[in-house]
Amino acid sequence: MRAAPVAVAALLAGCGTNRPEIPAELLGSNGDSSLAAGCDNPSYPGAPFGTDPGSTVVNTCFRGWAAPGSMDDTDATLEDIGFGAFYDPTHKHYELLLVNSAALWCAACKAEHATLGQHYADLAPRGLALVSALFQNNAGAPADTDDLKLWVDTFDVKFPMVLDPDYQLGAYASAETAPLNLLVDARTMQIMDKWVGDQSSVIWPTIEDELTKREAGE
Amino acid sequence: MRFRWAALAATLAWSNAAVAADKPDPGAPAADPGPPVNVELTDATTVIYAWNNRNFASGDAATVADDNWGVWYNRLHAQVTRGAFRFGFRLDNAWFYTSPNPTSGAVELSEHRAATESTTPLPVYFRQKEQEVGQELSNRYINWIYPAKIYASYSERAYDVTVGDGYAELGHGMVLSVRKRDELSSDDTVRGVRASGEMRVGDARVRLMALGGSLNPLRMDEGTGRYLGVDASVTRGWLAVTEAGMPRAISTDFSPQGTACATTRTCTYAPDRVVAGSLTADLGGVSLATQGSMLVRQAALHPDAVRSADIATVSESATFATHDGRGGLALDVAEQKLSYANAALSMPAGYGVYATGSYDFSPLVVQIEGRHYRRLFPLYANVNIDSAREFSQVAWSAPPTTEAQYIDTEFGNFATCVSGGRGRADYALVRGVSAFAWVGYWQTFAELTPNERCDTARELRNDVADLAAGVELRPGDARSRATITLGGRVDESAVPQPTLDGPTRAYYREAYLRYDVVQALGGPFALELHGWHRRRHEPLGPQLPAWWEGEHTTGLDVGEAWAFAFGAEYDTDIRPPTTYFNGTVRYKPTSDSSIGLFVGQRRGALRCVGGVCRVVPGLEGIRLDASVRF
Repeated sequence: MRAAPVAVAALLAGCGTNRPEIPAELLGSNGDSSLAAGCDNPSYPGAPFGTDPGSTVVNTCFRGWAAPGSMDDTDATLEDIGFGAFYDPTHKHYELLLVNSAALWCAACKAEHATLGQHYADLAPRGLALVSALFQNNAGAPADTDDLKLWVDTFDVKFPMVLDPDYQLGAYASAETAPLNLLVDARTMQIMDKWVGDQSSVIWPTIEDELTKREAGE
Repeated sequence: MRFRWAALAATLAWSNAAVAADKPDPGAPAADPGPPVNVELTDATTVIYAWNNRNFASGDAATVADDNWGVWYNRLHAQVTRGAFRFGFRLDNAWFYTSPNPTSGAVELSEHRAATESTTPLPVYFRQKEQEVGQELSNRYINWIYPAKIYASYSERAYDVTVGDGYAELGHGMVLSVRKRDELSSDDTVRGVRASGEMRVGDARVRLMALGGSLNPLRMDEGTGRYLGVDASVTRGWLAVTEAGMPRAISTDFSPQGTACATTRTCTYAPDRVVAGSLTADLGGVSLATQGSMLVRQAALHPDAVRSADIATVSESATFATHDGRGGLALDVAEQKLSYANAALSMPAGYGVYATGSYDFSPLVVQIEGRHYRRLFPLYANVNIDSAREFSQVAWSAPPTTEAQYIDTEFGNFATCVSGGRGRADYALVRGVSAFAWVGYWQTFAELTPNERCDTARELRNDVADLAAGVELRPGDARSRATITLGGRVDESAVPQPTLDGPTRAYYREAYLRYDVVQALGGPFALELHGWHRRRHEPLGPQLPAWWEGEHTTGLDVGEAWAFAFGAEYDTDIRPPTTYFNGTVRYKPTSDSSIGLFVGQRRGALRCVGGVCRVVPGLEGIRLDASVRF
């Protein structure tokens, strides 16, 4: 009986922990985080990284097609594509990077992709880079190459389109709020704006306005 | 914390002072005691335990953050009335006695990770997901106690003044609609000052109303444990007073404090400010009104077209009633202007026209509603819908839809650029039996794409027809009644749209059956049957085959005190789960108290009431509700 008050006091004091056991296979070293060769960019800005406007986006690696339709879009032609490929501190090729997410179940993503290609065609010559990541199929399961092929063919995609089966973009927004659009300054890889849902009427004027300012040297 | 307790202390002190002032001084000579002091206390309390809700999706952190949590959520409302004076407050508290943690969520995601093209090593994946689950939990399952509502008012026959929280509905909801909606568990108010006065000019009554303050939604979403937080950068000036004691943004290991609300993940609400007014003249059979509101924003927490803008809305209203009281007509004409700091986003002013009329040709009653909206937006709250998506539908206006109350299939920005209407006829067949039917038709240009500028090009148009017919039975027995409705909806794009299965014009199709039946069984017993069964197809939406979705509840009432119900729900959409079962018991020992227990599964869904919608999350677990008033 004497132990009872002690146990109650220990409970009240928050003794013990509900931290779960972490299986050994999930515990790795920092070296695990090295990127695939195709995505690595040694000059990419360093930490700290973040997920909200004002912070630097971490170099993230995907498998996809850099120029869909330019050759057979198959498993064999998937290549490593990372944000590092668009880092351009001298703004020789890129001024802005738009990171977009899509899922087969997502109606707003489809509405957005109906016009995304045309916007890209208009603005790519002015320095816009675009990469879109397909993350789930109709059933909410991870997207695969067949899903990516279906998407690319349906919307006649001509910009880099990648698979994100682990939903790495989940660091930026929940799957429920798809599509995600992340506007990144290609000179610094800092996030400038973040939108969720189909926000075409805001995204494109904002990008055009920013490109115009840069062209004017502001 | 200091602000929170200070506000609570002030509230209680004020309350005590008000009551104490009304107590007679024993040393003073006997005098007119004045009007009595009435004190009314209402307490509504909810205890929830939610277990695994079966929505796991590989890689999706949100689907492991909504399992195995529990809350005690209490709402205490006190009101003190003495003559024309009234003082009240509502104190909300949420205590989460258990909740998931980032590590267990990441372990679950890692152990059930689907085999994919990914080249990410498992330990890296685990760390990524721990960070994501941690972010997801940073503004969920946090304990709070806060003064949800507080008000003091003085009301005479011809005028009234309220300081604190109050409701407002102007221009049929087109100009301002800040109110309580029990069906959606929402209670929005303006926290500030409201005054109105009425005078007679000849036979006419003229009423003037003005209000100003900050907008105050409920800060806790009981279904998900998410809360709305503010910080010092969005509570400057007098907002420091209206936001005193309200839940604050917190800093966690996964979501550190940023330099401002817009860069702090847990800072999810930048209080909107509003000034509004109305002038109403009641001339007997005719009533005329002018009303306006000005919504003033802080920096947008989600920079979309509505949340980035200061919004001015004005409207003129007229209502007419026939002398015999059998007919009526109401007309509202509104104009709305969105103003942006970034001129690149500017767009022309929008407008809306809404009309409704009805006439009783007994035994036939006819009602017709119509709307013509161009760039007429709901006044969405300045909420960060990225990190508080449950609050994405919070809005300070609710333009009329002309749809049936329960319709939840206006997709996208449907109502912001739409023309059309609906006619309904009710015919009394025999005593206690009537039939009804309606036909609606709309053209919307903002369903395929958001189209905020309201371009009315043919390729953006959807043609939508909504039809229904049914019967209402009201037998002589006052305890029995039935309403049965068969309905359908056809939504087609004007030009074929690309889909993953090839081009199609079919945007959405639905056929449904709804019923609400109460049948007295003799003695204290009554049988209740409620259901809504839907066959749905959305080829341009999730690109799924047609699916069935619905719910049925069978209930047994025993007198006024006891009610038992068993419910079954289903959804054959290819995303699991597909079936749900639940049971409910309710006991009302007195007319002012009740206790109810829910056990089982309930699916998540978009619930709409008159065009105001809310995503209600699914619940798989136990929920105990109790309320008492004394």
